Amino acid sequence: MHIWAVGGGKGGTGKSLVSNGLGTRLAERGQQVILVDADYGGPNQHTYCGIRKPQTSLVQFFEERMPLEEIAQPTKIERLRLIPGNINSHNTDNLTTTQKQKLFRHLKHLQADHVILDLGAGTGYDTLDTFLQADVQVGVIAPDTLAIENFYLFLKNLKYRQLGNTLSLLSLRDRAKGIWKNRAELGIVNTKEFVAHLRVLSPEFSELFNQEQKKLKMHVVLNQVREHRQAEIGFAVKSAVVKFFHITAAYAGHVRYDKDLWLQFGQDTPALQRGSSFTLRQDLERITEEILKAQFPEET
Amino acid sequence: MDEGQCRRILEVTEDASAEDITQAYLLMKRIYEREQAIFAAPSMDEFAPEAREAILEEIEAAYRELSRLQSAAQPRIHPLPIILPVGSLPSDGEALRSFREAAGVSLEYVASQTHVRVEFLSALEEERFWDLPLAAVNVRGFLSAYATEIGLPAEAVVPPYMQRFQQWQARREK
Repeated sequence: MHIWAVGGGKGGTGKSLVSNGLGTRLAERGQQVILVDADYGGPNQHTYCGIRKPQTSLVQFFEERMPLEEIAQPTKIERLRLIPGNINSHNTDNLTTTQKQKLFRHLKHLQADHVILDLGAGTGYDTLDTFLQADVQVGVIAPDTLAIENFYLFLKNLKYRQLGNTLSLLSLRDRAKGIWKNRAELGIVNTKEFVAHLRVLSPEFSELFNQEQKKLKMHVVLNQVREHRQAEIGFAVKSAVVKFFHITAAYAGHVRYDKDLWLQFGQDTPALQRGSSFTLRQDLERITEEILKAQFPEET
Repeated sequence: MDEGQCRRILEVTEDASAEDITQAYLLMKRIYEREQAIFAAPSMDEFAPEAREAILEEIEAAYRELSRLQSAAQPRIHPLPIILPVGSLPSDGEALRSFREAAGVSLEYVASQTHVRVEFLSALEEERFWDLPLAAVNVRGFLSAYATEIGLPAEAVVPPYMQRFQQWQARREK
């Protein structure tokens, strides 16, 4: 089973749209898929799926310990099930880290080929940890400076989080803090040199940190492409991720902007299944295939 | 820098063709040459001007190296800067041919770039004047295009060659 995480920093770039498209395509390929609305502060995956009032949601998991298998409900698309986000609860976005970790542990035991997590915006520790633990990591951006800037911040935070997690695992956190505090005396000017210093100090850290870094592979998706020339921005960002941030990345492709998407909600048919959403469907199918090819070359 | 590293820098796969590599190089240049690009985040330390310049240099070096490796196996994908030894410009057909081969350029490549047929180009190199067009103006045009393409200054190469061509024509008319 593969866990996919769809994130990217800024809100409104199209993480839910892309998650939905990925899930739909994988299910159409004949695989069992469960979509999880992990955007606790702004769940709307059920609306994409054309489900007006979900009977169960993550509330039952957190408050009544209902098994996820029971919460997962069928959608209009065969083999695609949905675990809706907290909707009718007074407390949606204030789950504890323990609660979110518990959710991730349970997700790993779901009966499916692919579990797709639609993450919320922002760079909170829980979002970063979930993203880092996923097998397939998808970052969604839009062709504007604001979205791209936030995406880079997301990446930087992922890197810092990896560093922090590795240090915690080896109980080196306090020691590292001390080194950073005295960095002027030690002649350390930036994070790169800080990491180099730590590597020399602890070969164990060096080894584990390398392993952690290998786990991060960003699939970049460029959404909301209105003009042909914007498509190149996707390549440019992917290239910058590799060259400026030294993170492995692959460009999965772009999604053309659909000015009529807003009209497709509130119907019984899932938004992407409506006839006029065909460009979105086409682009998301292509992107899913690209990600599969890049992530699982031996299977495709 | 080995070939694998060069390909990684230009972000192309191992099976990318010469054409793919050139396209990737041009794309990389477009991306990193602009100081203010939509994908850049000037607020971040990572995007310091020095970092961008270092990347540009790396891209150039990688493309130069790949071009060199490709031209060794012909056909070349990018004109190489050629440094000429002073006072030794080739002007007869034999010397021109050696010069072209040393630069790693095939006749087919020259033909594709100059639109002069390979038969005429090889006649030029072998000084088979009788296989060339009768009008000196055409021969001059072919030779000039050929010389420029292999990286030689036409104004230095053409006159001595044309002198021999016209002497041959005069002898033939007698």
